[in-house]
Amino acid sequence: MAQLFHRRFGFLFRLGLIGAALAATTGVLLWRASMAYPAGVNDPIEQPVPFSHKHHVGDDGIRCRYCHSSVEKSAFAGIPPISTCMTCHSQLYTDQPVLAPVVEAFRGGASLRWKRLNKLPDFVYFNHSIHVAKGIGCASCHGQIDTMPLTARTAPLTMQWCLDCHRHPEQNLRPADRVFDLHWKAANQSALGARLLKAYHIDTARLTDCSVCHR
Amino acid sequence: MSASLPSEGIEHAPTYAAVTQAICDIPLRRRFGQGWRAGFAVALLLALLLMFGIGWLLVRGVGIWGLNIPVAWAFAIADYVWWIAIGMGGTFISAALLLVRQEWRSSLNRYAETMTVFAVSVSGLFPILHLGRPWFFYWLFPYPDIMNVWPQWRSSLEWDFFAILAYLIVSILYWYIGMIPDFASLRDRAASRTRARVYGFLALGWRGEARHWQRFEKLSLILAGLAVPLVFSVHSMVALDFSEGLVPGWHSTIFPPFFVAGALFSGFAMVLALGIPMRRYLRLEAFITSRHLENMAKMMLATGLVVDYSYCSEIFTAFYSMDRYELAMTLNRMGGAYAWVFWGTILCNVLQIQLLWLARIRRSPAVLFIISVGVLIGMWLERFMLIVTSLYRDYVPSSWGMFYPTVWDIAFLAGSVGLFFVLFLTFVRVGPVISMFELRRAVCSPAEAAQREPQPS
Amino acid sequence: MPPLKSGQSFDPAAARAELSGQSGPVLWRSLEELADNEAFRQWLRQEQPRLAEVLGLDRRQFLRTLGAALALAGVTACGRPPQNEIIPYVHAPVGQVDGLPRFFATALTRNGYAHGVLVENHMGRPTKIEGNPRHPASLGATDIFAQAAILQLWDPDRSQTVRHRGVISSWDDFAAALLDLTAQSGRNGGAGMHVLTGEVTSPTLTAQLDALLQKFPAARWHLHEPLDSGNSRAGARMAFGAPLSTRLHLDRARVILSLDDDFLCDPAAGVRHARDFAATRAPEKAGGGMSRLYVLESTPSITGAVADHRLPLESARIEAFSRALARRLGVLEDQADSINESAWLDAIVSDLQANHGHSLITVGRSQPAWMHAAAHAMNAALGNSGAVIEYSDPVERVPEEGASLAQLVNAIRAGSVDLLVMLDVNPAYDAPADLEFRAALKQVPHVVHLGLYVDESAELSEWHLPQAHALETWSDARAFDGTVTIGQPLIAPLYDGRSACEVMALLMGAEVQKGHDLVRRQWRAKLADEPAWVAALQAGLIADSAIAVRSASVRPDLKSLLAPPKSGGAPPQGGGALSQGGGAPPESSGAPPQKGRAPSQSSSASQGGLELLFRGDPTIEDGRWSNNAWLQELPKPLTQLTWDNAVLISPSLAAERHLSNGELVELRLQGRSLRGPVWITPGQAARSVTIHLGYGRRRSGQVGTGQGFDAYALRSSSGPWRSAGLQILATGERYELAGTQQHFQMEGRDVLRVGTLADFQTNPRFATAHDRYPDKPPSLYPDYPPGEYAWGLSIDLNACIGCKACTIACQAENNIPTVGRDQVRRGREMHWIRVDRYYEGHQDNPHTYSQPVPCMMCEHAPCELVCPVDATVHDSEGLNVQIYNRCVGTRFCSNNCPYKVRRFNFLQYVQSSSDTLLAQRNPEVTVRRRGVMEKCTYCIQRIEAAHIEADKQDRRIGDGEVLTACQAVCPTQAIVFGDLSDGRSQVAQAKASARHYVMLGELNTRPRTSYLARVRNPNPSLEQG
Repeated sequence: MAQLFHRRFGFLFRLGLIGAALAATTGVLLWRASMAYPAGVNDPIEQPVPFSHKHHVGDDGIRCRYCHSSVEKSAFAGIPPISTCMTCHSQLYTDQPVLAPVVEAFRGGASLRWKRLNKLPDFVYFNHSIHVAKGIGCASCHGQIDTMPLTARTAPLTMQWCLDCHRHPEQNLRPADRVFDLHWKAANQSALGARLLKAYHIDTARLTDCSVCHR
Repeated sequence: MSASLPSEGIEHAPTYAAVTQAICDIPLRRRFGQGWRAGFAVALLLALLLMFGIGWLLVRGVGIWGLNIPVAWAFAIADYVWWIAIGMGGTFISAALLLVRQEWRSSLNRYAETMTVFAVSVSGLFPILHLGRPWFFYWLFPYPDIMNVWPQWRSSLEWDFFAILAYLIVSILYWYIGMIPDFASLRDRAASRTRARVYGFLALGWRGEARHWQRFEKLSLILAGLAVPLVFSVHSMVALDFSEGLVPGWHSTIFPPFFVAGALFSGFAMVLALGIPMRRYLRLEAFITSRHLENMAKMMLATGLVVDYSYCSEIFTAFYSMDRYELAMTLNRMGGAYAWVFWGTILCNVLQIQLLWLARIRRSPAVLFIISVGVLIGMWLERFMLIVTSLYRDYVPSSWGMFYPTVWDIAFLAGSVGLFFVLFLTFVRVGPVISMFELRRAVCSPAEAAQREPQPS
Repeated sequence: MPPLKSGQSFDPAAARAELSGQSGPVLWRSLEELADNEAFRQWLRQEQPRLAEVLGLDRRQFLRTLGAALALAGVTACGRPPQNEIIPYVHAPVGQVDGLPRFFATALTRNGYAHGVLVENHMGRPTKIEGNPRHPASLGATDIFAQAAILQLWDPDRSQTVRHRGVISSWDDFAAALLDLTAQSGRNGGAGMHVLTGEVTSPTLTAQLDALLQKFPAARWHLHEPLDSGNSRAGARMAFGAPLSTRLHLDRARVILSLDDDFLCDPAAGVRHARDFAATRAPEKAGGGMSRLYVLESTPSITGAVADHRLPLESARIEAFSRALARRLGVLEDQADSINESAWLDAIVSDLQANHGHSLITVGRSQPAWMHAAAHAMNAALGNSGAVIEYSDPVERVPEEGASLAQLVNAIRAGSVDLLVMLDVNPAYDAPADLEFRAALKQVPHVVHLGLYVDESAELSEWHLPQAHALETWSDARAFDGTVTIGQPLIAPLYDGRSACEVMALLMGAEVQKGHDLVRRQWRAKLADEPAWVAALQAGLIADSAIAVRSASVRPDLKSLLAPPKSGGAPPQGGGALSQGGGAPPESSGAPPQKGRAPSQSSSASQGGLELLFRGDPTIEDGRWSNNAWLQELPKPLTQLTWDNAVLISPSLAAERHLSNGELVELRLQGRSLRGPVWITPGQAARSVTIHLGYGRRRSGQVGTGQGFDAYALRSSSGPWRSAGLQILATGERYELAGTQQHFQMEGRDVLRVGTLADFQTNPRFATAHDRYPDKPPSLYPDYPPGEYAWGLSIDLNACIGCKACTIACQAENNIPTVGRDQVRRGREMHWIRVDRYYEGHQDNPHTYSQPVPCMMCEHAPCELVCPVDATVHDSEGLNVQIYNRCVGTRFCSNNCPYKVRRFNFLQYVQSSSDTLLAQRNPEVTVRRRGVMEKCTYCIQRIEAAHIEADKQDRRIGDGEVLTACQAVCPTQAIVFGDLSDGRSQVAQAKASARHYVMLGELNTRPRTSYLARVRNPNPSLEQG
């Protein structure tokens, strides 16, 4: 009776098995890779007004807290009301088309609708004020924002990323007067960090409690 | 039991060819009539009910069951323990008896293993569906995720997850490897070419060379060696799911051995409950003889007695410890709202099996069938009693509360039975229900057998 | 759950409402620029028509919506950050820091009486109500109703538009129509114009009423309060000849006798009473200075449950007892008709006399006026007047004599009513059945109804006006002692509502129409300058505005007034005096024959006749709260039932009639009948049957309509509180009541520990005397390393009165969903802190104990061990935290929790259907979703907030800086929370008490929550009896 299978069948079958195994592994790896770093890191989104931190902070040297006024008081750093923009722009570039939406809003039109860059899931309770108070610089999470013509998210904001710092805060601690300095670098971070850890009375055991971020 | 048993077991010892022919004819030539179709139809309907139930569960949540606080576990867990326990019997018969060279097992082990694989697969559904958020079941698996969190290794549920997984994998392998030679025989006898191809594919190119046989023997011994400890580990693990808790009625050191015994007990019951009708329907009396049934009955009785002993010791410890909560729980089981469950369990698992002392009973398939079905029911009731009557009245009287099953609790139980039978009946229809090559070995004369292999002393 | 986006999320009704509406009153004057910015409105119409509709011309809703978009807590949604928007203010509201809550002081009223509250406001959204520590009726605590008010504010079923004969209309149309009506009746001095209100203390409203009656002399003002205090008013008149208000100082009392008076739930001062009473119950005080409370009552009440001696007596027999008591105290002179409770009488009398000047006799509002009068006389005789009980000129305003609902109906029948204005009352539902008010109402040509809901009365009214919620309007009200609170709005009216004052202004065609201006004008004199006004707003009360206490002497001829009833009837004079009760329902204002029943009743009761008692429902009162899911699902304090009322009968009656719980019976009374499920109530007087009012609403809302049975159907104006001659017929049918507790015996388990004062004095540590390990049992496992703080909670069972305010406060604070009757039946209620109730002793008159049970926060937590995914873990400060977003829902933790305090979302309980309910949620607490376990967290969001503030300032969290929701609301301060590692903290000291014990200590779970044993102070001479 004739052969049931082609004589190469066995070989091909093994090949197929190996191929399937490989496919599965790569599939999983790809999925992990895609999840590992949520999209949108370092790519600016288009905003209703092409606001440039580079220009305002880098060139004009406006302080962070001038606009993000509640960063030291509240969980929410604060998005400046249109009136804040108008403190200058009632005089400067008032007629520039790019500024039209701002002026319009101030005149009673639609308030701006900024696209949110740094958004955490609703079950995560991040608090700006405590981080600032304990010597975490703006730059640690938001990068050299004064070099960004258009603002982009610089941190993945994954739990892993949060934990890296909550486990070893000393790596990112700064002196209180350097918190808003976007280009400050410690000469010897490890030594400084260790010292600041004590100075700020940071309870590292507690930093990794679930209850610190989840309620 | 003596190794001379098989030839006694199988009257007018037939030839190799005859054996092979008889078994191969079932999938290849036999016509499956009304009986099979009817059975399959019923099973299929129930299975569909289960599928629908699962869909509804995913849409609405576990609240469709009668669960509540305090009784947060009930039917689903009982079903799970029940099914996985049934699985144990099969593995024990095929693996453990293989290791101790009980040749007579050879006409039972194939469908027993099949039962195991299907039962374990069915049971595996429940722990997952039972989660509040089933779609996150993989969080029990330790993988490096972007949350930097790992499973909690002190929890018995965590280990349970691995126990089931390992057990399922091993029993599937063991089952399939064991079938390779028989697939080959089917391939060689298949009339149509397509069938031949299918069986041939499953046979993985088995040509029956000495080399094949030698590797085959080694592998099946290894797998058997793996399977037997799993039989015990898995069910000890399941037992820990309860004894780890401090709920009165759960918090008990006797549970692991008690559960293993109970598992074998229900396993053997299922083997009988399946074997008796099957042997009748497929005319396999020549292979699955009354001696087989009798042996199974004896083992069922033995394990049943162990289970009964555990019941006694449970009750004894309650009174001996005089622990307020244990005592209340025990009395509650016997006289409380769910007393009928307790007494039902006693009836099925303690009283009726005493009949098995009588050889006449052990030899009568019909009675055996009824008894083993009774045992299956009894074992389910026992799990229900264990879970619910422990939970519904625990420590603080203010939070005591009853459990009432909903239609969905019933549907999932019935549906799981349906699913099991869909799988099993399909296998009976297309697979080798009896391990031919082992049977061939078994049916040759005792003298040869004696020469071929030394007796286990 | 997506964050609440820019207002697209309001229902059309609201939108229509807003279209016709004009802007609400000003709360933040700092914001006016934005509001008055015409261009802004323009844009809204052009760019965002839908939004424009929703926002109308009101900016604060816009802000609220923004606030929501920024700060609303969401459901656990995992994965990558969702794209959404940040919408900045155009002009930031002054004084607001984005993301931080602000608190505003205002007042909520009950029966017209003010309860001072502080309302938490998140970015323009009121989310939680706390008591106002500076307010005399609150002292920082609230009752359950104040807590539920926040849900009522956001209730999507609230009336949203003006309706004319059921058709949507507008305020302008109404104003126009009203003008004609008032013009007509104005010509003949307002004849035919009738105003119907509930009990009123608001100076502004009373001033308006006076003005109205001045402008239209022929107009009439009627009072209708289903659960009124007419009897006590009448009693005061009777005793003093003037309608004085009484003021209790329970903290000064050593012996209290309550004659069917549930003073701990008094609508005016219940919270304050509870605090004062608890102050006298600490056995630690030198010389065991513990007060003793005797309660005689027919149906179990909270007050009865905390009594040292409670005597269940039929309401009529209480009257007989009081008669005997009055006789013994020399207030009454008549021949003795014997009573069976002489032992009690002797004991009580001697105890009262032994504590001359430090005792108190109080009488319930359900008891007839003569008893109130007698009580005043007895208190005077016992030297309590001026000490434990004080009198002042009346706090609330009542219309002139006999202007009750009955008189109104008579007037209608006489065809003399042309225009009826009903302000926040619902007589079409809650009028006594015999008045047949619905029928009468149809005869009135023009009916105007102002109400929060489109209810039964609204249906029958020509005009229905949506009422603005107390948190939406300017108002004022007096507390029990007369202290005035200015009510300020927390938010502009969500719908097109206005306040009673504003409608009154409309009615009078006054030039001042706005609530703010009306109230401001009222206080122009006292709060002349702006600072004073602002100070009053900030404090939540007007300083020293309380009504002065005055001396009151019982009129000498009282004895003759109370003289023995001829032919076994009550004194006709008494009746006469009563008829001046003003708004008192006719039993008290009325028919001597009815009163005359008293003695005959007592005899009939003893002979086996049944009396039917009417009481306000413990959680939904007279029905006004029936659409409030929190209150519906709050277990009734003594029956633990939810979502239903029941026919409460005594165990002996149940045995006699072979009735069992949930069996439907038919009640027959004076030719009317009613069906309801039976609930066997230990401690119920043998021949008394109690039904609670407030259920069986025909038109309430999605939540309240059609729940339970309507007890008003049997209530008659001749017997509003009790009627004799009840028949009960078993129907054989059953109805499954939804209770949260099935088992009320302690089964000899010492989860709740009680001793007598004697026990305590012999061995202060009696609570732990029988424990194997009075301290911690040994453990194989090491303790957790100590953290910066060690949070712990202590509950004093001696102070706890079982009012369940903690349960509902927790529900409000922690976004706890309600699950509905069916799920409660299945045992799936979600309350994080439950109040267990146990009975001890014989079922005819058991001791009743309450025990609040939050999470025990075990140091060796059984739940943590069994979670396969680490979703419930220990934190470094000893909290046992539940991580919702990690939970997969195995439920092993709940099985393994010996205290069963964990709650599971078996189904999707959180409703996202209504956006207004969405806006109520606390943004600091994750909203849990289906399949997730949850439990008490010690209000970790509050701990973390305090932690962050303290850490920023580099200091430790002060003691009392963190108040858990249950602790803050507790009227008796039974719950204390704080840092155990600080020996000086309140909680550490509470736990140092000799009465300290832990629940199920033998399990070695080492709970952080522990209890102080209850101590009873029985009278030795009665203890065996």
